[in-house]
Amino acid sequence: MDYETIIGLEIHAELSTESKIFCSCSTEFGADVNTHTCPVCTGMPGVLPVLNKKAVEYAIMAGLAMNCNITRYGKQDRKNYFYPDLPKGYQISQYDLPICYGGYMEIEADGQQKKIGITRIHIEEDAGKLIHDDFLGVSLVDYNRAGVPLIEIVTEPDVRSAGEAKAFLEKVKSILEYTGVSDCKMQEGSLRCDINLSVRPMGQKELGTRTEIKNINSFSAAVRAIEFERSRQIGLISAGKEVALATLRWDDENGIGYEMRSKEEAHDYRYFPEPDLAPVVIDDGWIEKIKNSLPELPDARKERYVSDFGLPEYDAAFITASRKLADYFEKAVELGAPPKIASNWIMGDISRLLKDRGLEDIPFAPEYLVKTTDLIEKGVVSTTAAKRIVAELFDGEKDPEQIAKEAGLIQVSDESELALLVKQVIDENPKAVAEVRAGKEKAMGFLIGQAMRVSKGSANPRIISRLVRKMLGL
Amino acid sequence: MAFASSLDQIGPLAKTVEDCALILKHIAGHDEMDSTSANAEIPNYTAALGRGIAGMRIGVPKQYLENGIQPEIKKAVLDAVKVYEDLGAACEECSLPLVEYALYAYYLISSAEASSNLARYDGVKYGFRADNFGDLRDMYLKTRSQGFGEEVKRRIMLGTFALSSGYYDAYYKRSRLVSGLISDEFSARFSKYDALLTPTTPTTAFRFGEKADPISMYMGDVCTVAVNIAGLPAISIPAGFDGAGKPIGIQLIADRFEEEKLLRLAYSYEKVAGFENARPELSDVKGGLQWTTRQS
Repeated sequence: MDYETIIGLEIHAELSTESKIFCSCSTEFGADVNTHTCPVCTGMPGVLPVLNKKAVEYAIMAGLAMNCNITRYGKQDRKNYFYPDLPKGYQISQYDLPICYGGYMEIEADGQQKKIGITRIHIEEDAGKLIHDDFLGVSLVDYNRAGVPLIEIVTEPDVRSAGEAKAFLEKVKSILEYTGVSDCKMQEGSLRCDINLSVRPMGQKELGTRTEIKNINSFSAAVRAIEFERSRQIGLISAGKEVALATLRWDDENGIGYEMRSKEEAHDYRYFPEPDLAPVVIDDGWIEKIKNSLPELPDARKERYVSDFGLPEYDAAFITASRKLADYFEKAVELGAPPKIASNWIMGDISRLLKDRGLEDIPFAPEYLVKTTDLIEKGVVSTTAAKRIVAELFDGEKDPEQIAKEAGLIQVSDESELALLVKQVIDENPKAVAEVRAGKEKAMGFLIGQAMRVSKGSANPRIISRLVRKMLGL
Repeated sequence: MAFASSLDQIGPLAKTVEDCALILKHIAGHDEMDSTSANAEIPNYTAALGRGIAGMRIGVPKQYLENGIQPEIKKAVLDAVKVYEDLGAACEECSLPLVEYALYAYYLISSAEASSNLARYDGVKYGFRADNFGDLRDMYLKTRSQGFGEEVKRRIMLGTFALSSGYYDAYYKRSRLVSGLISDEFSARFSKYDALLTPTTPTTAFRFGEKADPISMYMGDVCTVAVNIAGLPAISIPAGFDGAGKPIGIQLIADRFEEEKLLRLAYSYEKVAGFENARPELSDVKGGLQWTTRQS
């Protein structure tokens, strides 16, 4: 039997505010434990939260970029539960009046365009972090992250596959980066996601029992978790068993979801309006102002790259998915790089090197890429040599021509020098020469290859080709 | 720390109305560390005190003088009415039919908020932590069971219950709705009256430990909680003594941001009644007053 997978996503993104959501502590990542804390974010008695306006603004911005309605009257609510990383014994979140609601985003997955509904986007505070010290046998808490502002983006159950989930997550990341709402650094935990998943026999109307999978730390982990849970649920149903309502914790290393709590243990969060904070009133003027401050979003930018720069759709989509890549690309084009050549480099060697080295930012300025492509254009270095130059630029900014000289990558374009080389190759390969004379182009390639080999890659292949033809009188 | 954040309001406790006005002038206004404080202009409360009250209209809600009110307290309120009439104010009886629900709404909302406010006393970061415990859950249970007193635990349980799934609508949410209705009812009266005059308490002070039943303890707040529920300013002023020499207070309630009117009314009364410097004859208290010192 065929099964349909029904997926809803909950995405938490840390906002790029300078200070925390209810106090003026820094949100900087990686500080010494408990140094970015104060009586407010550590839940001392007698303090009051004051809402960071910028956090509301970022939430509105995200909502506008994701086609949401923006509430004119929002409020904060308390979500009550006990855990050592939660200093007040409740999290200030939003329950029934989120900042944004009823939006959607277009994604492209499996070659098809699709709309994924956004139920809501609300703001809330992050919790602290537990540090389990096995040596001392104790658990310690770092409250630096407590009170860092988050938005939670909740989707409709519109996602049908791991591929769609991945496409959606990538789109969210791209939009949050473009708008500057979040830096989306997965390894710093600034983007996290929970997955709600159920399956049902194809054609069945009623939804199956869903499970929630938590602790997803990367998009590829989301894909693995979805595949795992889908198979697990189908396995249960096929065996005539029932799927139990539960929360699973994803263990990506072992590729398994473990049950964290069952329905019986489900929390009763006792939500109620946060009485320490005044309601948030959002007027049209404020929304308009934020709307006008929105940067060009990936979809619009993609279209511009196709129409203005003549990039193929695929290239435009690839580059605009990341604001960093797109900004880099545009700067390179501005400095004179031909768009398609710049996009080839960014999509090819540069993206591969970024991935290999686990980097998010290209470690050298666009000027260096443009200088490198200029060298190819002028016949100073070959494309192969340029790949080495780009790789070296990842180790530090250095003049590309200098790199080429030091590594002996400068192409020999001096015709008298190359003529000697060509003569040698012709003399040594009479068979290939005969074939070329007989009109076999493949043999021509062989001769050029030989010349390149003899020159250890430094000869300019275009000139070699011309010289071979000239000497053979073709 | 707040007991019930949405209901709590700090205010001056002073020997005279003038002192009260002086303190209020300095503690009123917006506090950037408290977003629930109004960003409104602060009147010069002391300058207004002596301006008199001729022409002011005072409503006396009959519900406050009915069931369970100590007759001497009722008399004190009615005597105050005479004082105000003599000073040129117009007084008349009025009605606040919903005010009897204020106490119930107050105890549900305040307990709900207190149950959450007190969650931070979990033994993790500061304060009391039980000595011997097993796992985390056991630490929470023992710490909170041993650390809180009976009345606090009662309110935490009441509040937790009122917020629980399945009960929230019936208790917490309904209390909020009732609060809104009570607030509307007060607002309607303030279109007609500058202030309302009521007792501060239904009875004078009872002895320490005399009331064991929590409900009858809560009933002692029946006259004062409505202003917290409705979000209104009120002032309590000395209005004499009962037969046993125990002090009686009367309460004036005004519309939002009308503290100035309250202080003027209180000041005018104080000047006539002169109770601000009166001291009870403690030796005359029937049966002798039992001073009890709490063991710390």
